[in-house]
Amino acid sequence: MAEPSVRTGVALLGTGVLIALLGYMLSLFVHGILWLVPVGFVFMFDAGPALAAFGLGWIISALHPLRKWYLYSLIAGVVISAAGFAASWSMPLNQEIWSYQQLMMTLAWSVGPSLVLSAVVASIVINRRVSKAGIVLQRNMHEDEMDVVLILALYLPFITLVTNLNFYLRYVLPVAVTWLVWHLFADKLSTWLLKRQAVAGAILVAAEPPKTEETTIFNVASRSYYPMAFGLGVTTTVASVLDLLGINLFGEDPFSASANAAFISILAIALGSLYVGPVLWLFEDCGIRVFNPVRKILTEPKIHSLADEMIEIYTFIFSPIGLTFSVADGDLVLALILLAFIVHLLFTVSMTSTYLYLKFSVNKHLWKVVRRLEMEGLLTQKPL
Amino acid sequence: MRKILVLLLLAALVIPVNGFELSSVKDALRSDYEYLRDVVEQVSGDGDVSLRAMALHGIFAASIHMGLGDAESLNFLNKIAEQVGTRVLRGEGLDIGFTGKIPAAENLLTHLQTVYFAAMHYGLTQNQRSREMVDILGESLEKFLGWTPVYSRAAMLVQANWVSLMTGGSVNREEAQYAVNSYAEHFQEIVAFSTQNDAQLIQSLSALSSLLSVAHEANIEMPDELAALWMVHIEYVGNFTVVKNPGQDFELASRALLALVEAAETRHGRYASMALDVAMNLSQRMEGLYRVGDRLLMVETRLIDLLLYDPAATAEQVFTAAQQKTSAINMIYPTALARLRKLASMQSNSLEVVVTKLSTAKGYYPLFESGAALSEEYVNRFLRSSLFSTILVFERKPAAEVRNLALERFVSSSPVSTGVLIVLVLLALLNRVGVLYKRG
Repeated sequence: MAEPSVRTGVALLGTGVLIALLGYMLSLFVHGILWLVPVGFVFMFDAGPALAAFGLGWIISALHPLRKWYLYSLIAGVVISAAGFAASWSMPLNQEIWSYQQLMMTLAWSVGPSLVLSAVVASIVINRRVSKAGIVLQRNMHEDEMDVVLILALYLPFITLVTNLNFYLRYVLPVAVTWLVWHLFADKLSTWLLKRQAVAGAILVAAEPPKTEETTIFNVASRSYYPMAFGLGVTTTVASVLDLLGINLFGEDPFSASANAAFISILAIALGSLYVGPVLWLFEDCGIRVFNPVRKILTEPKIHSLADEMIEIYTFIFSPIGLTFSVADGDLVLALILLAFIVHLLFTVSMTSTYLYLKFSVNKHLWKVVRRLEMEGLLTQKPL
Repeated sequence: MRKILVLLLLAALVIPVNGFELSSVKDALRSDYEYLRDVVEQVSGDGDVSLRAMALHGIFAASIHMGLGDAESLNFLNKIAEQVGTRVLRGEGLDIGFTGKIPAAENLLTHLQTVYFAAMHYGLTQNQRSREMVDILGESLEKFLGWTPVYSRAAMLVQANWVSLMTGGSVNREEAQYAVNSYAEHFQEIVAFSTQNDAQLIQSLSALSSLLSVAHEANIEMPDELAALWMVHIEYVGNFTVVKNPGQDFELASRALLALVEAAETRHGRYASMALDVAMNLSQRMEGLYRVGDRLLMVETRLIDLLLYDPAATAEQVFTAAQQKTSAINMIYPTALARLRKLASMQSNSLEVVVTKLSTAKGYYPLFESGAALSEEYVNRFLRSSLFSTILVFERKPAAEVRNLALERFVSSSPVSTGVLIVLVLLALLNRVGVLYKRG
């Protein structure tokens, strides 16, 4: 395994440090040349630290590439960004603590993102080589704990808001509602959908025993994607419909308006994402196959293709447009900032709910679905 | 369980409801825009329209644009600025340097309203021609009136930067530094201006607070003597008789309230907190004098405060009106409330009452006795638009600040984060398409 290599990482780290030093020298000596001042600033506080952080992340990834050590760089990047953001946010901006502020900004916007990028690039390089060589990557010994760290990091920017009611209304209550709805209804809906297929003439086959769901970082993060995308679509739709009807329920700044739109959509998000989230996961992992006696084919149970495919198209094309007109007053830049804000809000809610569901509900649900179908005599045990 | 879920949904629907709807404020402002556009279209072919009237239309249009923030009103504002700029730079309709070609009263009023318009336009658009007008007219006014904290070139540059700051723009550091130096150099003139009477002391406090806000935004340290002078002004205004007993002169008390709110907005240490406390108490004492239930009360007002915004009034009529009184619904008090509620939570719902009354998209709500002004509809709409644009500007301000902070961070001071974000999104797309590597 040639790359990622420690040598490349050290070279990048050293270059980054040199660029930062060059920026510092420029800031000392070029007071008279105005255009060089911002260049010096960017070298010292942005490009230099970013390249050094990329190099550091590369070194970490290179230490044990097959044991997915790039996950450490990834988690470090997210935590450093979130902590730097929280620290710079909690301090009033003034001259006395300017250098401290700048350091926190550098951690939040340069070091953190660079570590994340380094981890992502390293994972692509490693996975490409692994897939070519036909090797299987080993498990990282901390993979099970990293999802919890990632969730905590998502909440970290709001550490100063723990006494604010809005924090609980927007970031805690939606998690409880979503998880509760999933926990109560996911198995029932999955069983009902499978039963409908059996009634329609398909034969349900218990091809494999249900797979036990893991709460590894990638499992939780990737599974959070669909509920988050669905929530984004619902939120934008609610905001747009209210705007079209001339109903101004929010009356505050666009950030509060967007957060309120997301909040109002909680129940719709929880119920809707039940179908594109937990039901889909249960279908994937219950080990049941659907046999079509007419076409003689055996397939995995699926959710409707429209729900599967339309979510992304609708959400990511419509959201920027919808938000621009409904809450950002025609300001596209503001709409994109709002989009980032809502994506963070919904991803935090979605990932936490997904973690809770995978940790406490899914394994029971998998067995419940299989047992109910067995009890009703709808499940064939033998492969056809 | 179902009951709990229904209750949760109902709670979600009830919690975010606000006191009044901003959409009705915007609709009323849009109707003011249409009215003004018609007025300007009617006079556009008329060569006799005075520069002062054009500048007044410009101030009205700038105020509407600050509230609406849309391209249509900006386009309209720019057209007026173009006409005003051409006339000022040609020296038509005013006498730069006060050489006696035009009667001094008319020339002074034209100078004041034109320079104020130019400052607003420059603050909103960074138009260099308007900046040039601020320089020319500011210097001309300084020549005639001497240096004052309210009408000098430095004061107008502060005003322009304050407008820029409030509407989500940035502060020009060089201009802010020039203004700070100018105020520090003219320390004695500020004291002389303020000690003339209570109204001028209030004006000085407003000017010093704006200077402080602009300087703070530009990371410029205020000289100690200016900061001390600002504090002294807060103490004096806080101890005014009308502040203790606003019933004596409601209009002056409303001006004092607005100046104290502006001082509190600087968030500059203990004195800003003190100004906020005094302003909160004063606003509560004024409430009973302002409305009874949902009925707004007319209070004694100087006639000049209406005629100043009347394009049909001559300078002579305006200055004569300085000594005359009339009755009108005060618009400074709700303006101060709209800004105060962004600094502290308030129990009062006077602002909601005013907005509900005034926000009629068809026609206008009469704010003063019929016959007090020559262009009644114009003045009524002018006064309404000033309040409504303030409400919208302060509603939009937090988002505008975040927007600009984010833009500044991503574009100028941290280009790496933008680059990383773009690369990550690109990699995510490639991964989704499945071209990065084959999955086992």
